[in-house]
Amino acid sequence: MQALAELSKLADTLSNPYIEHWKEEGGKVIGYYCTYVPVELIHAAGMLPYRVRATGSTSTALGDLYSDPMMCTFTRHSLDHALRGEYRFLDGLVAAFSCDHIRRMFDAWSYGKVETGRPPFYLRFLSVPFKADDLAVEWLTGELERFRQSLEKHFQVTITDDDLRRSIKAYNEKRTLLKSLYELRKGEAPPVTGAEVLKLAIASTAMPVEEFNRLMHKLLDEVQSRDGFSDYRARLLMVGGELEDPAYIEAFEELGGLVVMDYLCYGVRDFWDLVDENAEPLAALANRYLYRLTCPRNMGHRERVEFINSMVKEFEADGIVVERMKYCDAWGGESALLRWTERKADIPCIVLEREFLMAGAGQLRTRAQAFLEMLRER
Amino acid sequence: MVEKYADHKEVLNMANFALPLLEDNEELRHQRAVLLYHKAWLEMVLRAEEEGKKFVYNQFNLYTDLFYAFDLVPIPPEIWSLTKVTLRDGYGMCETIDAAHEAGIHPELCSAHKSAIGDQLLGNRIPPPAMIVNPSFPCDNTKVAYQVLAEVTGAPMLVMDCPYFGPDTDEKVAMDYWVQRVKELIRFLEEHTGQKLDPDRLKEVIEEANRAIEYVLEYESFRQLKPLPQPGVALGSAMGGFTMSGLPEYTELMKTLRDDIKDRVDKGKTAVPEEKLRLNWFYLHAFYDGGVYGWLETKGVVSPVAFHGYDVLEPIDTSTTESTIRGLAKKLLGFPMGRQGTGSSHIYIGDCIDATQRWQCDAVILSGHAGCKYIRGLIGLLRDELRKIGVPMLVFDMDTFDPRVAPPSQYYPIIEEFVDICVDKKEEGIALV
Repeated sequence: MQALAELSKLADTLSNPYIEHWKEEGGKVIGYYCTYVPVELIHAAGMLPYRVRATGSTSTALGDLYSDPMMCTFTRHSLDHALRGEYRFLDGLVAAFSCDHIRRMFDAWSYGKVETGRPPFYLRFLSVPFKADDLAVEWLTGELERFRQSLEKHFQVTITDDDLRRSIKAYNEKRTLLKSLYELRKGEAPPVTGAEVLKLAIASTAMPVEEFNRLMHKLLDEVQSRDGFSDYRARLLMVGGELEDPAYIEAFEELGGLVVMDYLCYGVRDFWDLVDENAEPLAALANRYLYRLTCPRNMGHRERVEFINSMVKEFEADGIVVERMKYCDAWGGESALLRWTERKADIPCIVLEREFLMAGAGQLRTRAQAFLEMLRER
Repeated sequence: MVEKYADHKEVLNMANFALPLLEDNEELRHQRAVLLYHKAWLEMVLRAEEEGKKFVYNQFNLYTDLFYAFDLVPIPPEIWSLTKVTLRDGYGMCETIDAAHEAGIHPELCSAHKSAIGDQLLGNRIPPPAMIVNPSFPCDNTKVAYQVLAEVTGAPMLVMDCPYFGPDTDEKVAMDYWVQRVKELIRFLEEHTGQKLDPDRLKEVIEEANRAIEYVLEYESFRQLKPLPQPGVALGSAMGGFTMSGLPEYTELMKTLRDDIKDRVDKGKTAVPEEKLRLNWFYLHAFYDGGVYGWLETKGVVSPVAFHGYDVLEPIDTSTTESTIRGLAKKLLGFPMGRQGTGSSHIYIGDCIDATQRWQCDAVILSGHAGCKYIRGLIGLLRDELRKIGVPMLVFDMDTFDPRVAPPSQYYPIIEEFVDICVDKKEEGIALV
């Protein structure tokens, strides 16, 4: 499983040989927070979009100077990394208005608190609507046009509609490939674990998409000959926010659970929906990024539940695990609503609070164990 | 089963008891005006239910003008809930906060919203809505809480999507989008009330609200004077802007506040005999603890301005329906707290510095309300910017609505130490930062 091994490594570190090679060749890397940033625009500008993680962070001592103990630990760790210079390979940063934590962390960058080493550093904050309708699409299309112009001006490049179409095609291919892999998880013996899939998903955001697509084609061939995972106690659908640590999923899978599907930030929300390749590119992007599977920063709880419950059926999940980052209000409200809804639908659902670091691993395993036992007895 | 609206009826009883005691007391004229105003709103809501009027839950960062143009009765659920905060020795919201916790609402949500959700879950606490209106500002708390309220009440909800206002925002383009959303709100209200917007009624309501705005701005200009002429914390358009803006009662309140402070200026009255320090409370202080300002005044420390006493309003041009709607759209982005939540930290920080300088304050205090992430997340940046202009800042942990998080006995010593150091430094001519 060479392709799987090659891709899985990329989740362990912030940078990797693909990024280093890209930089050596004179390429620019633009970091982005959140799946609401249209990466196609960055790609069309000839740059490498890199989804910012906080992998390897062990402290928030510096980050807390410009954050607060009541803020999401992912953003605090990420800001800590930034202040320590861990993102020095970036040439720019783009964030979308996902939540209060992201926007305040971004403000620390825009107030010049992060030493970027080489001015001028590109910063852009995207105003992404909180609901999807015609007005919102019109607004976001205009916002993406302003984004395009700012990239062109800052980096002295031209982004044509044809460039955008090529980028859209490349990212649609990535999405289709990942979906194909997910299809294989519907079977009785899925060929990949949930932890492995998370690593692949992370890799897809940390390397040139063309390289990822090439390796994914190889991987889809390789898994055909892999013995699937059939020795599990329960099939799980994992729901939640920014989860970048495969160890969290491993905690369930080591106890006999198998995550067969998800509704995660690095999971289906990132890639499930395609961009219309036949429409005007910016409008097509605006449509896709608004009407895609949403995060609870968006309205649309009922649509999210409808999708989750349909996936429970399709993937024959025995139960739902909702992981919520402490202090995250979006997932705080959503997890309460999910709990109420799934109770009525008689779908077992557990809500677990977590922090960015896996500090309470023992506690997590205890609760995972109890949940899996309960599922087995049903 | 608890009696319907028992807590709010008790609050009304308390108001009816207190009002005669405040009559003919010139020193307490503005407190009396505020109490009369809230009494009027409570009575209006209770009467409206009997009359079969329709309620709209308006998120508390929305001025109510447009709702009155449709003859709706606005209830901001947070404000309805916090009306009972002073009951049970300041623990008035704890029962409903706990009900939300027990139902699975995360504890880090703003307690005003937890309490509003708890009101729904326990029942008999708040009239049900015919519709709900929620703008996407100021914060995640409101977006989340209102999704929950919509699910629990089953009422149709309109989310007014607001663009992000950052340093690079094209304000004209952003405002055009927001105006479209206000027009969407009008269509929503028309659909759910079954009546078309009456432009004459809208004009009437807005012109009434304009009169209130003029009084508010005049009142706030008097609060900038040194020494401060009027004790207590500043009260601006937010004092009731979310309940009866557009009605004569609101205009009367603002006029009384203006008259009171003007009268004091004319008579040469001051808040304290000797003013030693001026504070900018640029966040909400505890609603169960109105005594903190009086306590500070015994030390010569006054509070000329606060978050909800800082307005950037202007009267709306009512010459055409379009100009009225555009002016209303701009006003809706100016509600204190809502305004600062529409975009990046530069809005809040810029406003805080402006308030500090124009109201001639020596120091800034933030009551660090647990659950308010959009403010807490910028404290480090604010600290740095205030240091550049030599202004010290105190932040202390507490909860604006739940005294159990940090009781006054815990944070009073923190405030005292801070103000004592500032006063001593001032007296010795040492820079505060």
